[in-house]
Amino acid sequence: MANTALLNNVTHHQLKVITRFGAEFGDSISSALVFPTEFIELQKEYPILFRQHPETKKYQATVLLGLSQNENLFLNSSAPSGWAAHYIPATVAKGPFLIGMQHQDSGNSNIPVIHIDMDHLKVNNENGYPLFLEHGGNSPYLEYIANVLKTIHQGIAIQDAMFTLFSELDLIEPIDIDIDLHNGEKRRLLGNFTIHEEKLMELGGDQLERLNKLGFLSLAFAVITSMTNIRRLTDIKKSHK
Amino acid sequence: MITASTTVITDCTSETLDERILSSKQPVIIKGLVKHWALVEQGRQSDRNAIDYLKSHYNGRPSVACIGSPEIQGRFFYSADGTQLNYQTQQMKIDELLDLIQAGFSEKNPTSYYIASNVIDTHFPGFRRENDIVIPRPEANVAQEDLRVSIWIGNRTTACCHYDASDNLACCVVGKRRFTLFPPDQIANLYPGPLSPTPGGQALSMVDFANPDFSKYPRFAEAITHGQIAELEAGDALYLPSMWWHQVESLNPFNVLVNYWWSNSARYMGSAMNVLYHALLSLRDKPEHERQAWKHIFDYYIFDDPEQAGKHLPDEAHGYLGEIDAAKNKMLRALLLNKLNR
Repeated sequence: MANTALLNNVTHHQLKVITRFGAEFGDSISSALVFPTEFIELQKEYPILFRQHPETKKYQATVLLGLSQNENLFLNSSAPSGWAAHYIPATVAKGPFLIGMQHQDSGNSNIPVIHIDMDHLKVNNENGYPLFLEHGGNSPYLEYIANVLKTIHQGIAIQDAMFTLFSELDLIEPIDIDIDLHNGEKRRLLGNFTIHEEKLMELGGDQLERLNKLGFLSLAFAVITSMTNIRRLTDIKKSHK
Repeated sequence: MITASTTVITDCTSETLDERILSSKQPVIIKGLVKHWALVEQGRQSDRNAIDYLKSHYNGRPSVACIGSPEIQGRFFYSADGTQLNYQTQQMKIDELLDLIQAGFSEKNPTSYYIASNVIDTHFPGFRRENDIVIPRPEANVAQEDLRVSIWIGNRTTACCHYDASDNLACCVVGKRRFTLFPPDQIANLYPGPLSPTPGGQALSMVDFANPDFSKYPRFAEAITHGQIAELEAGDALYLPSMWWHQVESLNPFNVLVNYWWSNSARYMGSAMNVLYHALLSLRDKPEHERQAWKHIFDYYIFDDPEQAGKHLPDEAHGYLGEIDAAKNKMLRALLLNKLNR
């Protein structure tokens, strides 16, 4: 079980977090969970795919980072952060931090608070960015993390509504991705879903307006556009050879 | 003990609180102000009727109940060493709490149950259609603090002496209540306890009014000469100006209070307690001569005539010394956030 603690500026005053990405920190992952709140940024770098939970049948978005197990093609030790992309998925960028819910004694509401996994490989007292300033104020890095967690928190809040509407409009289709690795090697990725482009084009004005007013139309297009990034993955893989 | 009693007005039972009472800036009992309320009438029949009436308006949402063992005799307070509280809080349904209170009617010294300051509309929708009064608020250009209307339900309990930063109309709806009141300048004679933890967000007087320890708290004898007692029966209301210290005893086996809290201050201001915490951090432990000088400076800018500091300057040079409008409120907040975050 993770050794998590509610972050505070007294107990954790000395704490630092390594912001580099690398295989040695467990970053060799071939996909990452993502949220609608980051699709617009993600589409410029990664293929966005949907996965369906085998039991609940609920959809969840992911991005493809590699073409075989434990392969993360974006890890690159010559990049300043160790991750060669302009935008890093929030569930990766958040590092050792988690969102917790804290009950307020004054009422029946819960407010989101920041927790930290003390056993995470990036947490230490010597290297990386400090979480707190000299007198206990929040460091710029912690402010950045708070924004990353907000992206996740708000994404969780809207993703079910988005997938429900996509399903209602019959926009989600299964996709098997065939990859030709130029050296004759072929791969087939199974079990993914994407947005059905033709069906999206055939939607009527009212349906488009509904999608657009909720902010989901641009997300549907982001998913479609993002598929061109598969080519990018094969190109990186080729250049590694 | 305290001999003075709070002024009583008997000729005011309208649907709107009289503005003359609000401008008094002194506590006033308004006898029978809410005697026509439906819950007051039910309670006059029996506690059972009052409990059934409350249940009929309850929407089933859980609330937070304070539960004290018989030993504390209803006095919700700090633990002996002042680092904790002497009772438990628990999420529970209000109808279950009403059953527990009712089950204790036959006991001489029952467990103490208290739901304090529960917003009415979130748990008793429709209740205020039959039990409500209008609090007149002055017209204002900027958004003011909201009115907060709460219900307080319990058996024999004592809310120890504290102050609240909002004006208060406390309506005794079922049972009996005794308020022991002190003006704001009595703070030092009341020996406030720790700022945290506290039962309701406010520090409590350390003095046990039922059995004061004058060797430990000698200045309480002085407070007594400034205190007054307000006894409320079902249907009576107490207007209590903000910042007055008050202990509230609920005297019957079943008691319900409905109270209105409001402050005619702009919402952007937030709690003045933030200023006190900031002063504890940044002012209290400065060298003595600096601290004393700051007292003059605060008098000049804050506590004396608020216009004094800008009066001799051209309008366009007033800056923060002039009226705090929406833009200046935001700029000041940003300035503080930036300066504090270090």
